[in-house]
Amino acid sequence: MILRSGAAAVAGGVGAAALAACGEAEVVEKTVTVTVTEVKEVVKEVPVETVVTKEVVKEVPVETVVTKEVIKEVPVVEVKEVEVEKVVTQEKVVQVEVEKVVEREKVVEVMVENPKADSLVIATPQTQKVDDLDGSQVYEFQTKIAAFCCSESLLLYDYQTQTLKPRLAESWEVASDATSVTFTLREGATWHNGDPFTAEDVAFNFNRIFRDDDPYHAEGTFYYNGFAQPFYGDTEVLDERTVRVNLTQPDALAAEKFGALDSSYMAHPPSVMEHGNREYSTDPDKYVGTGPYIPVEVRPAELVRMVRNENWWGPKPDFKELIFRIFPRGAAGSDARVNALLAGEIDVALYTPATRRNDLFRTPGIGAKWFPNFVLGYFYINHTFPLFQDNRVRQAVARSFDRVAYHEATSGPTVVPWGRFWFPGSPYLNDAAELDYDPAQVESLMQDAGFSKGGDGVWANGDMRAEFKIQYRGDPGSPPDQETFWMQGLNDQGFQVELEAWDPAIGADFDNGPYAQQNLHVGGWGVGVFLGDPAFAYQRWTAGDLFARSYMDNAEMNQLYQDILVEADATNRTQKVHRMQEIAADQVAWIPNTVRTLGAAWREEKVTNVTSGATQYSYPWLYKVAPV
Amino acid sequence: MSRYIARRLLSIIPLLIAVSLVVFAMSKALPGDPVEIFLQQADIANPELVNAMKDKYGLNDPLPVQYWTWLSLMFQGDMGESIRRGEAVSDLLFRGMRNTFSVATASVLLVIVVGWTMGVLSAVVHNRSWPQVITRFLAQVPVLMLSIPGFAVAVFMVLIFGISLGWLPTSGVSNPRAGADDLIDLGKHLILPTIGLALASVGGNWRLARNTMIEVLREDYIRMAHAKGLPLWRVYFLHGLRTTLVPLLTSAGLLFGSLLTGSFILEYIFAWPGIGLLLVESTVNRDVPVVMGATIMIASMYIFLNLAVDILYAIVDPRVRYA
Amino acid sequence: MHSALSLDHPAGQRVRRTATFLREHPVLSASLVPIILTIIIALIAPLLPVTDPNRANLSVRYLPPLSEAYILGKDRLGNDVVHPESNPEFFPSSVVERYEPPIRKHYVLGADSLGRDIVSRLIWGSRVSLMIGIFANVAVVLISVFFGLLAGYLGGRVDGVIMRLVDIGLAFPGLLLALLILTVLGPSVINMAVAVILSSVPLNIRFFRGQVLTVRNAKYVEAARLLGYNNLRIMFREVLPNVMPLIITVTALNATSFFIFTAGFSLIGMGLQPPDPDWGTIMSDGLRALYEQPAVILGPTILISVLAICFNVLGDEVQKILSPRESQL
Repeated sequence: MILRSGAAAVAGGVGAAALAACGEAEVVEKTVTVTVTEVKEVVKEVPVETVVTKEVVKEVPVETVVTKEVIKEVPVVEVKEVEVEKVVTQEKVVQVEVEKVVEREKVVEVMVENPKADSLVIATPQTQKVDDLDGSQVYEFQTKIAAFCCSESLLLYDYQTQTLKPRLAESWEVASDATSVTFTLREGATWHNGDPFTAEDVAFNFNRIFRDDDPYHAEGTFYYNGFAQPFYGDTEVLDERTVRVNLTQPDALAAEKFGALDSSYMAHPPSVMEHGNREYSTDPDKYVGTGPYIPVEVRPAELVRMVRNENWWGPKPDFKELIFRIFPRGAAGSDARVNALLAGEIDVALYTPATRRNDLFRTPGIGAKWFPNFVLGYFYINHTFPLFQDNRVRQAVARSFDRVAYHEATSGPTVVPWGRFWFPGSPYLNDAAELDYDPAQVESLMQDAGFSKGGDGVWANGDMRAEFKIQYRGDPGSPPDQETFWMQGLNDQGFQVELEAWDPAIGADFDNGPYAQQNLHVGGWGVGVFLGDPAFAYQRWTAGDLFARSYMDNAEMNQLYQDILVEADATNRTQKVHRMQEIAADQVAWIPNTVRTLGAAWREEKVTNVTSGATQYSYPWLYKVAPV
Repeated sequence: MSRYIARRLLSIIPLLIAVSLVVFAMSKALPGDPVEIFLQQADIANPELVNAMKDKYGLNDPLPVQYWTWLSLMFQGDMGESIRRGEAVSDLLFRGMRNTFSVATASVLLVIVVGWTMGVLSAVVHNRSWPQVITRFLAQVPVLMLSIPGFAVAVFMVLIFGISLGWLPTSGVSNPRAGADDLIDLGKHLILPTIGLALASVGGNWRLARNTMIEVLREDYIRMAHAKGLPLWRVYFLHGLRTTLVPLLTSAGLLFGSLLTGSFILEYIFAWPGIGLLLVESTVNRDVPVVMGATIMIASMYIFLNLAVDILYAIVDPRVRYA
Repeated sequence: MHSALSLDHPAGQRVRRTATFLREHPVLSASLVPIILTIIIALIAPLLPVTDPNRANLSVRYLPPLSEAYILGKDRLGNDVVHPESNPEFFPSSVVERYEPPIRKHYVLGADSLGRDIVSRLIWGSRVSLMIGIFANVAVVLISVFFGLLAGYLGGRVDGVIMRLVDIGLAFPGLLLALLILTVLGPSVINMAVAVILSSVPLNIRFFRGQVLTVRNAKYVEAARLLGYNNLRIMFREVLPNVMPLIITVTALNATSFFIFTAGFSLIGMGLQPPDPDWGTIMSDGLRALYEQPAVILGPTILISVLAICFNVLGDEVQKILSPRESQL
């Protein structure tokens, strides 16, 4: 990582246009840049479509094929020379520029065919605070879809490549002792009102977000600042374009925490000072951001309308107008979203329900896009319950129900069924530390723990019978199908299980409250946002939640956690995280239940290919890419 | 007459107080602590924070003080802030009410236009001794309307008119590409929810109008009018209809009141951001300020509507005033 | 048995009279058939040869109506193991006792989101639904008639107290009141019945009181009063029979709305708790699955509609019989 940021620092002088959409772009050789600018001029001059651009497209890939071989030849581990790194990045820049050329051409095409494509209507579920425009104050991930189109953070964590990418900051460097992180800001980035984006703005925002005693912290709803707050010391302005965040305790992932976390989105200091956090975040007239789109109208519970920011630092945003149409949350809105998509009222529907998959796939003109969006469900076990004090019993429970089969049967091609904490392809993924469905294993684990099956087929060990309850969260319109299926799986494996509705009225005290009697709890639905951060996982495993609380007081685990905070080397960190996972799996801190969702479905006749960045797991703006 | 109205207006004051007490008691009877619920969902379990938040919402005061604060603030138009959404309750309610109001009004209009007209027509048909097939049919259609759940009809209408034919919008209150106050657009969005919501009431009013009108047409003064040789339309629509309207007006008034609660199921199907969805959502999440605000608002509107109906009744039928 | 029904025996006479009555009123008899049939099915549900209504089987998820699957055998818990194809390898580990050859199973109304047989869910669900639709209904009518009689006939202070309470109840539209009651009490069948009863009683009391008021000053009531009969006797012997036709009509109307009520509350997760079925739950399941498998919602909708029509027709017929003037309608 340090290597890469060093390389990025060299790239400081390269123009913003060349850096374009892809954060990987770091070093550009002059000859290549020249070719690219020529192509661009051609696009601008020719009104509709040109054969010329297409020819250029064909020419460029020849170069890329050559450089691709270079990538394969250079073993990743041995990359130590900056020059080799340069070769790799050159190739990437060329590729990106080619894509952009085709993209512009495509925009012209679409505009000619369908004037509606000038504006894009995206359906989103309503959230608790749906009208928040300030990225650092949004609560739920659905809200971010709109907020992240108008506000930006310093960096971006791209879950597809699992790397950090530059955004408002062009480069970053974590100190070798992991006690500070330095960001170099993008040159030419401006606020919507024309003010330049400066280092002072960053300092103002970090104090506003992470300091409870800051005068501009008041009224702000910074739901996710808790993950970085304990690490935050202060922000030093080194010069107009450089800031350094000093940490109170070392953290090797400080760049992610302060650059790319949900809480670290930038707000316009004069506007916040004048209007206060709430009004700034909810009133489009008072909101000033830096993002590719500028909010112009908010009709609560109805829509958020944004227009193109012509002065954005990145490539010209594709849509003149972006409309987020807000549907009710939960099951109430999801069917309506699909109906509206089928009827052609909207262009993109996010979070389409699995039950409508056939409708969507059958209808011509509608395509679906994989969203790198991970929905993580936890299944908590109450460790204080006598039955669960033996970790073999907990493991047996975890292996008793087939969560992957459930997702596969019910959601089929709209999700990637997954029963693990880290998503497919993640370096942290550890097969050895997973508790997959395995009836044979259940039998032997229970027998090891001294249980035998009684006449009614239920495990018993003396007076202790394998009986417990599963709690489910009853949301309007969503019956606990999944929990019902799991209950049956557990029953089949010899556990006597009942379902019980979770009453949100009864507080969170699982040690003493009425729920201390309840033994499994389905809850804590999270998203992939934190999955890249082992420290977050550690919080989940240990102190983070409910039932896991008191039972993960494990010296080795705590030591490993301290180690990963300062461990800058990715390989070493991964090894340590794997060990932590194994401890967590042995103790059964949670049973993960993960799906990767098919996030967007859109009408093909209107837009060819929309990637919604919507959530920060991929790109924070909507753009079109070349048809494959 | 004015004395009657004054008396009735005075009589609702104790009723309003009683209702506010019931709402307040109900909000206290809701199990659990709203602040803790909210904090727990935000993954925070910090007693200091809980206490600070309770102070902020005045939940640490003694009950009578809480009641009085709530009541006096409400008279100043301040219903507090939604715990979950952080928005003023009055804004939330106004928005929900506006959407529910439009569909409720459209439903009552549909009931009047279709239910009453068909009811009166089928009574006339019955009175003129048309063929049994027709009279029977006109008598049984409203029974069918009353019996089939409206939301089931609604979803099939979405499939047919919304998705397959594309004639009408499938959900929501507006087309995002249309302007903010585009009435034609709103009208289009209203059609399907209105039919779904009003189906049973159309049936009920059809039947009521038919039965009442048949009764009325048997009265002596109608026979008298016939005997006088008045034209048929005058007999039916001037003499007959006038008397028939009295119970119908009452029924429409009450219907409007109950429609203002919003129908959760219809709003669910049409993604209609009305008061029903808001009420259910905040009840499930124990967003007590919103539940209290919505309940007291709906209850007061209901009381005033009932009052209006009573007064209207008294105007039409003077005997009521002395009862 | 046969001798008990002989013509001169009082019970026999009653049966004969009933039979004659039913023959004379074919519409009424026809409307009674589905109601009685449903009640019988609900009562004997445990004896009927249907599969476990809660047994999920994802391999037959959203099976369309009139399709068939195969029961491969019985698992350890005695439940049928079903598969749409007769592939005995499908559930190798969980099947203990295997049928050879597998039994064909017909899914007359298909299967729901978890592959549960809708017919067996409807049959078992009728028990809860009828409890709400009929027994809660009867409770509503009994309570409201009693208080309506008291308020309407006795008048004065009794009337004042009852009607003030009713006014408070009436200030809340029924749905809102039921929602609040259910939230306070927590979700369960009994609580749903309580909520339905409490929320519909005020309107019914006011309605019956109004009817009693019209009868109260009738000549025959005054005559009874002059004869020196006590209030109770007059209320129940003279007044009550005269509001009877309305009671039956109101009961019929209530039944319809109660079914739909329960469906609504199941939809928001405040009705019967899963996995146990009632028609409302099946309906709300069907509502979610509507676009994937519209057949799921058809069963409960048709059942509720048919029963509602029967109740309505029954109400009309009884009214015609009891008040001849109306019968000309």
